[in-house]
Amino acid sequence: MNEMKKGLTFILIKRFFTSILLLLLLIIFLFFLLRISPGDPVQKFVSPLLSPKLAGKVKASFGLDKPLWEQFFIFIKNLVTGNFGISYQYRLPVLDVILMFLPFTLILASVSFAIQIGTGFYLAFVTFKRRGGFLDKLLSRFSLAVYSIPTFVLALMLIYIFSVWLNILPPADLRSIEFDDLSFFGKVWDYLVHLTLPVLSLSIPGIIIYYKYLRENMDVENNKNYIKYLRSNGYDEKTVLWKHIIPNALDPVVSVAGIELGILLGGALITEVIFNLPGMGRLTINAILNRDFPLIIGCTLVSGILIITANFIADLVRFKIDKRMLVSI
Amino acid sequence: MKNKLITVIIIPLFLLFFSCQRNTEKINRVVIGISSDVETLNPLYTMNLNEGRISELIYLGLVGHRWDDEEGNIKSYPLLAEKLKWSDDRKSLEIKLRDDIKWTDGKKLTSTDVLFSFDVYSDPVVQSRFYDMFDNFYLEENKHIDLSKSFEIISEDSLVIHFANGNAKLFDIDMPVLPEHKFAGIARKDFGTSSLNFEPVGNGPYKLKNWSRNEKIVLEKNPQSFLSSDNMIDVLIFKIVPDYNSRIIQIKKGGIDLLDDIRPEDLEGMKAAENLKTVITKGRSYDYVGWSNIDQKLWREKKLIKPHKLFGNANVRRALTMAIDRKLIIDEFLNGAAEIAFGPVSPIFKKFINRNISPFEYNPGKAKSILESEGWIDRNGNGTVDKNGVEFSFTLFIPGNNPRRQYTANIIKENLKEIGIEVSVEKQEPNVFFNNMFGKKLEAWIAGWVVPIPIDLKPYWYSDFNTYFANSAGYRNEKVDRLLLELEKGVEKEKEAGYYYKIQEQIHKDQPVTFLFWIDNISVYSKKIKNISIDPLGTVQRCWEWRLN
Repeated sequence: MNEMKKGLTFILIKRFFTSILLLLLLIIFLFFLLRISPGDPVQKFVSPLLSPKLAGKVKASFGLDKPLWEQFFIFIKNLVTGNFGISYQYRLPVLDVILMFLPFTLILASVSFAIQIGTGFYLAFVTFKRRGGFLDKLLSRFSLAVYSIPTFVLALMLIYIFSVWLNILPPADLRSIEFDDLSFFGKVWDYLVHLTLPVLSLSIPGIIIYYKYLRENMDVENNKNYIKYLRSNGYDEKTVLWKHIIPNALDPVVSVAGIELGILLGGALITEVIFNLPGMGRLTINAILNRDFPLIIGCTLVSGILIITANFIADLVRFKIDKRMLVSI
Repeated sequence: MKNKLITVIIIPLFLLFFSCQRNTEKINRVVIGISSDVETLNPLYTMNLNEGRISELIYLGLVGHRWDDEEGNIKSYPLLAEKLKWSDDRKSLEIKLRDDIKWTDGKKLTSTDVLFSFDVYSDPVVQSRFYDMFDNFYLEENKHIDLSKSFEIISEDSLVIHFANGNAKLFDIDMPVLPEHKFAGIARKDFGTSSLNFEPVGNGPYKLKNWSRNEKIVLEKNPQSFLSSDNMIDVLIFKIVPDYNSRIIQIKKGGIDLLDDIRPEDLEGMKAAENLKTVITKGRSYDYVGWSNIDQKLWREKKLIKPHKLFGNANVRRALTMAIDRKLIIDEFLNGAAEIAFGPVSPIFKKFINRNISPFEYNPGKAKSILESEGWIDRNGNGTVDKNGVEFSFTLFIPGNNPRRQYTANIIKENLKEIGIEVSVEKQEPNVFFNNMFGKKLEAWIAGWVVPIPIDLKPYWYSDFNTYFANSAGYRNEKVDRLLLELEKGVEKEKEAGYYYKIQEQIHKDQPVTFLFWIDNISVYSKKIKNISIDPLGTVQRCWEWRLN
């Protein structure tokens, strides 16, 4: 037990420092990549009526006229003090801008993730229990086809069915224009109806992933000799399933879940664009298109932190499921 | 189990549904669809169209403008000013401010606010969008207005502006007036990041109620405004919908009440919608094919001017224009919602456009013979004309994500192939494209301009590239330069049109670029909105005059 605690502490410390290093390398790489990429972030702030000399002054005010190494040292100095700079586009500190968009992404990602995991696992258990049943056949035949539908097609199909054809759900937006005039429950309902289609289009491919992974892993475990041994020794089906098949089948699924959650937290760009939602995906892509250097770095850093954290949580869950991993370190 | 399910899930959902009924009476409001969020509402920095149209409802200037459709020009009228009186030599303007103007925080607007506004607009430290645009004022070396020479404060509500010459017009003073007291205490270099960019304290008919980033900007009636009236629209919502198709669905379904920039292919669908009214106005934006008139590399590296090896000859450029079937693009892609362009003066400027000029007809045969007369002949039989060992082949650059320009580029490629010119089309990401275009790094490109109101040709066609980088083609003509300078100095009103006529004739002759077409503006609005005037100044200008059915 002591050894396991030591192992966990060691992993935490090691992970913390490697994550910091990884993030640092990521943003340094990004800093130089942005500076050498074509395009001028100042162009849009310069009136075509200004002379090149005066336009140069505008550029200087962004600090982009300085040599690259000087810009880099200023960047690192600011970074150490927690100053990510001012977004060119929003004219606000980068962290303030990110905080405007991050909560929505966190909520959307968490809800979608919970639905993906919950539904995916439920379908895997149900079909495993009733192997060869109608649902099992249906899912095994059509799940890949559904998974293969690109997100934007799926989203447009959902909009067509529920908004255009049936006219029961709004086609886009986070909330309605009348939102401010609604009662508390009205606001909750408004959010619910607006987020139904985005959450569905974001979740359906994930549900299929978890269902497929878990279902196949459960089959693999089920066919292993130790399961046959347990069954032949009279262990009841519940114990075999919950204590042996599921924990062993879960391990690779948890790794996938860590990656998926990280991607979700980084922003669901296509869903956000199609449903006109104010999330991190749209923020990041707009920052890239507008060459908003400080904001691109800020968004990347936040996404990096979220992906690393999600993967770390996934690893902790794996350690919890399979304690041999801690001892082996 | 089933009972539990009903208790836990279905009943609360029903309760939620029935309790969410709107608890307010119908609000007097209009929803305007826009494609992207604005970055600031501070008139010092409002660069794009939407920023301008929203901030100008919050901040008014000393004068406003109306579109005079008969003359095809704008007419100015006093707005914050009650009276304007020019001196006989037109070098001084006496301004009496209205005495009923208050900022939205309750403070009175005074002549010191006016002085402060011109001070900061022209301050190089502030870097406002109006910087370097005060040539008719007395200026310091750094182009900051010399306030002591230019302004004379008479009282709290009257002042005199002294101009350095007699060419000043009311456009020189139409900038929105800013509240000095709100900017006090903020270092001028920090104006760009101050909270006033998002929390405006204005003097206009509307004030900011709420700004949800990437979602909507809500303006509400400013009851203190002298433009305010009981039956004006209470709330204007600028709804941000980036996806064009979503905007179209929403205006059809009533989620949006007013939408600009409708694509020609949607025109019929819009006309068919019973609840909508469609308005088509002559445009002030045109597409063109830019030909680099000069050797850009030589210019960039040594600031020397030498005609471009392919496009440096006006006869060749004329041939290129004749070889492009502009009507086909208008008919096929724009559904006829455009007019062939023959120069840089928009058809909206009825007084200034020279209708005596006829656009070059599509005539590939004539184009080919012009090229031959200029020595461009297919000597090696490879299908591409050549001269002095140089093949007439080039890359035509277009900004990415623009289907109209992609279509145009494809037609041009096919058209020029017919006369023995080899064109390859290359897309560039817009930011990169415009950076290259302004930096004179492209040989040939397709882009567009939205021409300013009032008409101003100098930044685009004057030959001093050091001062005007908008002249991306590197066009140079002494006659045009002279006429532009004379117009800038000021000419008699009756003779003004004649100057523009001559400039257009010369530019048409020189064909520095191939002017493609002026694109019509198609706007759609809900029939519930009354008293709306849509003209080249835009759709929401003077929206305080709108009424709802």
